[in-house]
Amino acid sequence: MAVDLTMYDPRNLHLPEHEIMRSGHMACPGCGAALGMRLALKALGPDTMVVIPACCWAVIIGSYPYQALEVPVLQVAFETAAISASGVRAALAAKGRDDITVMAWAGDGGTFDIGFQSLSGAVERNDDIIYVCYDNEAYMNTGIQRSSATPYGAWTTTTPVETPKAEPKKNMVEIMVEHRIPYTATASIAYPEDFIRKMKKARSIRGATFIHLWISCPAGHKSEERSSVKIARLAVETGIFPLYEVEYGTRYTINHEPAFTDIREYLELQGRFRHLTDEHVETMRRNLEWEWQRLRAKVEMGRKLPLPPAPVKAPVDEGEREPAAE
Amino acid sequence: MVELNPKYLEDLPLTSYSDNSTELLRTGTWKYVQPTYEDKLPACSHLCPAGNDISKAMDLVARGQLDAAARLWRSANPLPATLGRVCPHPCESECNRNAFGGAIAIHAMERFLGDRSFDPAFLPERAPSTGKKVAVVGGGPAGIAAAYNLALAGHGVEVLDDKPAPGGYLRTGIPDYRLPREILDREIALVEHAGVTFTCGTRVGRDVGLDELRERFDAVIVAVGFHRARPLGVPGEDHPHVFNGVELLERILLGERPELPRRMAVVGGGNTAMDVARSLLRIGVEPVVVYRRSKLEMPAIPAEVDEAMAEGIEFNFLTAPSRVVVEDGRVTGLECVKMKLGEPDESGRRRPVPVEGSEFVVPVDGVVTAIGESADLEFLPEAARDGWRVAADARLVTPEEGVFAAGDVVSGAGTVTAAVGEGRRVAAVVHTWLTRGSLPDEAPPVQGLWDRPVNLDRTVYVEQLNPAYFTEVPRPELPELDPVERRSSFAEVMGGFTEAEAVAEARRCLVCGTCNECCNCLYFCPDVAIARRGDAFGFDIDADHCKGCGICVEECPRDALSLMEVKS
Ligand SMILES: Cc1cc2nc3c(=O)[nH]c(=O)nc-3n(C[C@H](O)[C@H](O)[C@H](O)COP(=O)(O)OP(=O)(O)OC[C@H]3O[C@@H](n4cnc5c(N)ncnc54)[C@H](O)[C@@H]3O)c2cc1C
Ligand SMILES: Cc1ncc(C[n+]2csc(CCOP(=O)(O)OP(=O)(O)O)c2C)c(N)n1
Ligand SMILES: [Mg+2]
Repeated sequence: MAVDLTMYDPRNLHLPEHEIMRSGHMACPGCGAALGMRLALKALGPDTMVVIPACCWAVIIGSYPYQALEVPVLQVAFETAAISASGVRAALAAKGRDDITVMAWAGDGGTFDIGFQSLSGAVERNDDIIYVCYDNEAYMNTGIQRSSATPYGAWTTTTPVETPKAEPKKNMVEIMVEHRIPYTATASIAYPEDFIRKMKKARSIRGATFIHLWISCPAGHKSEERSSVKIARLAVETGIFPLYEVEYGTRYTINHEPAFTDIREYLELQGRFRHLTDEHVETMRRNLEWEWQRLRAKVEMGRKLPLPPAPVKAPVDEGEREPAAE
Repeated sequence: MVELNPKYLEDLPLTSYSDNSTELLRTGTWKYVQPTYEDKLPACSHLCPAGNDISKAMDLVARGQLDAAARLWRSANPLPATLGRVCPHPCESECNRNAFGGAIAIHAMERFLGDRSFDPAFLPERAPSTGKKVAVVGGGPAGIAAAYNLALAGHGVEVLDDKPAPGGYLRTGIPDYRLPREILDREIALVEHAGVTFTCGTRVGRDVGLDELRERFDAVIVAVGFHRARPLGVPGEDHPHVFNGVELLERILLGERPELPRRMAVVGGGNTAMDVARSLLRIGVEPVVVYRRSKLEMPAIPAEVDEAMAEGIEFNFLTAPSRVVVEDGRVTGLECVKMKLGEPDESGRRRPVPVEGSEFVVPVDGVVTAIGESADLEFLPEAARDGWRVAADARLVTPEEGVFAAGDVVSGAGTVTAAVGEGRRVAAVVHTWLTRGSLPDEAPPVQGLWDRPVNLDRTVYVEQLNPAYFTEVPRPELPELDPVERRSSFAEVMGGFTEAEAVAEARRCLVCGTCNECCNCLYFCPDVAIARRGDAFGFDIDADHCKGCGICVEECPRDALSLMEVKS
């Protein structure tokens, strides 16, 4: 019989047993996006509808007449994940169903770039959706083109090694925070308990919530398939991808204090960074330091500030949704 | 104009709507490597001469299945309570927990599990009788371990020993303050319960010949240990107040309280020297240890040296005896020469060389030699002897048909744990010989006798673990009797774990190389291709859907999975 192994070491995981994602999907071996969806649906449970725009997941899910998720999924145009989710929510409301969670699940291209305006609109209206951006830091499905989520220095087919990406990654979380939505969080497939807790929290909120999920992509990051979780963990432990959450655009919480492992450990595992010079790495280190100063300053600021006064995009209904089935 | 096939229109729904599970697609065919659950040898067990299955037992204790753990430990090792007290525990030196807060107190855990399993209910079930009979010469730990395992395998086993009671040096060498007699007696009683007959006071070569044994029994195991005294080789050592260490210890431990000089030099740096000195102290004699190398080179268990020092025993390092000073027929001192350390010798320890003209006299009125013993193998035919040891090959087989050997006489390892491990191994070889009529080609390492499969070619060291899943937890302290109290009594010095402490300690175990159902593989599989087995322990990998990414192998904290090439 299953034993709770957290008794051995606090780092032993304890996740919901229920599976909504099925095997046989089309993801590459070691795909972080597949693992991310699996964990997300463990958190949300069966009473969920999913909206997926053009992105790897539109392929991963399987082609007609197969599909990998045991919940209804609507596949929509590249730029319309958020507005389509709003539409599903409106349709459910029209039918008097308020027991269903609606999750938009889009890539970084579909979120940071082409789907940006529809996302901004949906969260500005505080539509009751969970928007998850699974971020593999490029347009992977069409062959690894740069997006505004691609990090500084990275190789993609449109930022070749001679001229790797010169701009820093767009800070999508902060943009969402500035929409003053009830809940914004970052998450990682390497920290599934944290991710699942955040998904459950988002589910309990009646309003717009945004989860930025960092995932690895062996094909696009030029990394080993087996290292997908390890790389995701290093993204967090180096401090490159902080795990934090923000309530009402004000209250910041850092969920995991990184070990601040040398970023080289992270970079070395990925071919997309192989061309980097010491100078590049030094720039990255300085940026990292600055980003953390900034983040910590926001934590401090949030501590001193009261929650925003009305009109606030508070949850529509104070009551919590039933917890997801396990 | 394109003509649409009406059949196509009929089949096509209004919007394309997929309602078949992708589970029907066998994406597992994409892979070229596949993960497999494969337990490996933990570093601790790799270094355990007795071959204890440490990680599995710790896992059971951590789960609260204490009796199952004790049963597992005693299933092939008849002396856990003894070893849990006297073993130098090499296992702990390589314990991977060293990197995360200090080695698991495996030694104390063995004692805990041994002390928990004195009831015959903890014995494994005995196999049906084979009708075969085995004689074991020598009732020390090697003989006991061989006899126990052979008896459990269904053979009739008789142990012959020349001492009044079995145990070998466990009874006549290791004093009560380290191993209470009661503990040894209870373990031996269990061995008898397992079906072994002990015939004590019978010396092979004197009371019965080897040929007679070979006639009466189907196999003979020689495990007579080292019991022949070695001379010191200095003038004056034939004086009656110059004693042999193990002989004197035996007399004291078997209850005699001989008239002894007041202050005695104890020559040597091994366990015997320490036990002689500490036993003398306890019966009112003032011991002075004289050792020709430094503390670092002492072959004794380091903890025992520290305990002896804590008890206030005087040590003279880098000092070698050159003459027993006898005046008017009385010993008045031990003349010694100062030594310095030179180049390393074959044992890797630095060789002591005398400092010329440094002679001095340690004032004592008696001397005890504790410089090691050799084997007395006169009862064996010439062919079965090889100098100080029995001529046995790696399988523990001697050139004499049906004669096998184990323990100090084979390896000279000089530890109880090595003796137990060899006893286990010789039992397996003899069992094969008796049941199949042929000898095995190779002798498996003692861990090869476990009843769970383990890849013996791969040892799990800290580099093989995934450190992301372990946090630092400090090692607990064990209770110890106050040194002042110790000086005057043979009461046990070291204390053991309570049940709660043992469980807490087992939970620190990283369970290296051994699946403990932590579920990382299950949770991190992007292909949902790993499932619990339900009622049975462990997981199954769905080969039809596993794409061979290897995340499960990488994220296994304890290296209990391996990637194998897919056979086409
Ligand atoms: C004082 C002392 C302290 C020690 N302390 C430790 C310790 O703390 N930890 C540790 O691991 N090891 C210790 N050792 C070493 C350990 O005791 C031995 O390595 C171990 O006992 C060897 O086991 P064995 O079965 O080969 O032989 P033994 O234990 O020597 O047993 C052999 C038995 O055979 C009997 N015998 C011999 N010849 C005949 C014959 N012809 N017929 C019948 N019977 C015969 C002997 O009398 C003896 O009873 C110590 C040894 C000594 C002497
Ligand atoms: C309007 C439009 N432009 C372009 C495409 C082609 N297209 C499909 S998926 C994709 C990339 C998606 O990138 P991202 O959102 O990061 O998801 P990923 O593939 O990396 O998972 C593109 C450019 C499209 N489907 N629709
Ligand atoms: Mg992308």
